[in-house]
Amino acid sequence: MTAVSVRSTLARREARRFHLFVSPWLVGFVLFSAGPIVAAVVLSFMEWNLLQSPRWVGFANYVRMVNDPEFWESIENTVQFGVGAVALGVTFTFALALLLNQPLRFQGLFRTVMYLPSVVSGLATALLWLNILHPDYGLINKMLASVGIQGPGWLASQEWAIPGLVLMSVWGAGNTIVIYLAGLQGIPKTLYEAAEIDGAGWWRRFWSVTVPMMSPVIFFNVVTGFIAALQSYVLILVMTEGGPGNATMVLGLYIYRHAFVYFDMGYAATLSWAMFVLVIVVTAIQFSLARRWVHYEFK
Amino acid sequence: MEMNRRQMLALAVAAATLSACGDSRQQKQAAAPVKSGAQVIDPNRPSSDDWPFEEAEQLNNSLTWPKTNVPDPASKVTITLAFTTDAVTEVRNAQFDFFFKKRHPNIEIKRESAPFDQFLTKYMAQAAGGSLPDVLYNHYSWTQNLIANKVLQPLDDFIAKTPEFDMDDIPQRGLGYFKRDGALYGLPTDMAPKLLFYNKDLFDKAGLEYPDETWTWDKVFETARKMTSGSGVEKIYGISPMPKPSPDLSSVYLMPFGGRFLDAAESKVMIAEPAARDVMARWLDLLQKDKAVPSLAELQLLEKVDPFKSGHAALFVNGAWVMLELSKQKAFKWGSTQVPKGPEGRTTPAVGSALVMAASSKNKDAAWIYMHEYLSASGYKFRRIAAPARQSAWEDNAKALGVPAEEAELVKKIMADYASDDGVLRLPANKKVVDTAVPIWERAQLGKISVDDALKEMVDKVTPVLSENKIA
Repeated sequence: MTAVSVRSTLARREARRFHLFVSPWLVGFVLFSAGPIVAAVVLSFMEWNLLQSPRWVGFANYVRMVNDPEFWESIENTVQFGVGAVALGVTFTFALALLLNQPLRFQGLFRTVMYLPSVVSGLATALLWLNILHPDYGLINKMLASVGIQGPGWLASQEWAIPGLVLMSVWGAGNTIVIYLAGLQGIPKTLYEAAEIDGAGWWRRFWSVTVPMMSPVIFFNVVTGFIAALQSYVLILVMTEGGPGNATMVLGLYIYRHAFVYFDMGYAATLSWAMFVLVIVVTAIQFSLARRWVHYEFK
Repeated sequence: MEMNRRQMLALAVAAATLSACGDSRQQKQAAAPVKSGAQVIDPNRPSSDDWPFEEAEQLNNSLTWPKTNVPDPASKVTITLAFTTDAVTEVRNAQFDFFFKKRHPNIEIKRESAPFDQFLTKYMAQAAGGSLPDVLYNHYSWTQNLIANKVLQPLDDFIAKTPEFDMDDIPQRGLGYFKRDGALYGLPTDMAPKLLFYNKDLFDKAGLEYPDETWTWDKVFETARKMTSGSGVEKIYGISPMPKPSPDLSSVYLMPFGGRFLDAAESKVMIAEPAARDVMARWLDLLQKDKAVPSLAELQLLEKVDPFKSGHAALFVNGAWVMLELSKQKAFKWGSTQVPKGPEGRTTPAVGSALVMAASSKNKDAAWIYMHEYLSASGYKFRRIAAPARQSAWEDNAKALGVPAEEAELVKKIMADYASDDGVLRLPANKKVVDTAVPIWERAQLGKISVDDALKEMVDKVTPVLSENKIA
């Protein structure tokens, strides 16, 4: 056997093994991701209640969606929640990561404590925050009352329900903190030393070194945070069911309701595509704005 | 021999695959306990602290099980049942199945259970896949949609073949949810009216007479105002809950005044018409001016547990099924009476769930034999449920469950006299109707819009939804 044919046999064997090992993922992807995505496109042009055969209705679901005031209301609520959750989440977690990056005693313990909420189950989180946000006996309103401020009705108020949910969304931000910590530890110490030699104080070092060097990480967290916030609905379903008065009816919950409460699968698929478009538009805007503030060390 | 990394990985995958095969073999050899919620039920001797096997066996032997002309299968068949029950009740159902199989050795039972809030989703998905269980639980608000889509089997022929299936023992006025074009598609597993409950301790403290069947809604409003007191954790509400758009809004609150949420055909919204509008306005006043019913914020404070159940409301309108829960608590003394009268008389809904048979069932005779026994008077007595649809089971079950005999008598009288499905929403759009109207009513409760604006908006937004009620 020549050296070439041995190599060719080895290459074929390697290729076979590659396909063997990659096939479970490929089958799963086709069955559970790509398949449903294609099905959702087709379904959005159909009327289907699960009990009868799907019926082709052309663009009727899209026309219905554009004329559905509750859909637009849900878009407004979703964007409000997304902007609030990302703005507060990114700022708060960045600040926490800066604190957790300080060389203090019990640093590991503090980091563990801050990460713990991320592993608490969603239902427990919902019940906890129902109590924290309680208008009369909740922790937040108690604290406000101690400084003479009468707290709002939070989840029982149309105006304050979304801000209440935004506060809750910061709770499970442990993963974001970990990403920030990794980014902070990757900033070369020489940059801080050079800045210090130039006479930069802590604020200048933070603003001119930490923030630019962390901007790709912040951008990553903003993009992924927005995508997650625009899709979130489970905790909202548990905590407010979209109320009061539809004030927390976000798009994810609206889709869930049409798909799994009314079994209006065609319309739910159409709404899902609207969510996809919303995510794409918001992400595209973020990328277009990124050129102005995200600093990449190597281009 | 030294293995490279690829061989190691291949070996690991092979080992995992083999061990998985090994597990499944072991599972088949072991006894097959049924896991229900947090507990494991032994199929050969289902038992729990609440439902000891010995008691179940004794009760089973003391009951007379009815006969049917539908023949038992000549060879083994398996029927699948889908119920929504809690872990405690599941033991009782397993006991029922155990004794049923002894009476019908050729009928094997495969039982499925799903939480109520996931049940419809799960079985609608199964229906889409063409594989429904033979017998299913059905809430009264689901059945008409399934009938319209030809998913269910009419039961009239089976009933006709079963002279011992005493239909007169089941309130006929409560079967409308399960009927279409003269055919009956569901048989109730439970059925009860709504009542006016009262907290005797609070009435004694206030020095007021207990409510009785002479009370009108006017007197209820007046008493609710008088009984309201305190604030925060000391708050006592005059009455609970605050009415909202719901399937039985008409029957409980509006029809005594000649009003309705929707018309009887569920094709027109009537809630803005004067009779209904005045009732809704009175409740809104009771909430906003008198603070006599729990507000949305207060309900959140109470974590959606009705304040009556914790002794913080004087009056309470709810179904007779809460008697069991009230009988078990010792925090306060309670009583119940008929719902109040209005100028147009007294109305209350007869509501309950049902068992239905899938039209696609391959073992309809065996499924009927099971349904027949499960829904017989003996079946109700064996299951010891709090609100049996069979009126002959009320006394025995009330006694066994500790519900006062006079309360059971009251319910039987109401079911015989006037409880009915009239005015209770049941057509396919009922859930969407309620979900459309509730947020509008919540805004009225929060004082964001007036009662007239709210009711007009309900008419505007609910009317298009009603087109989904047109059944071919």
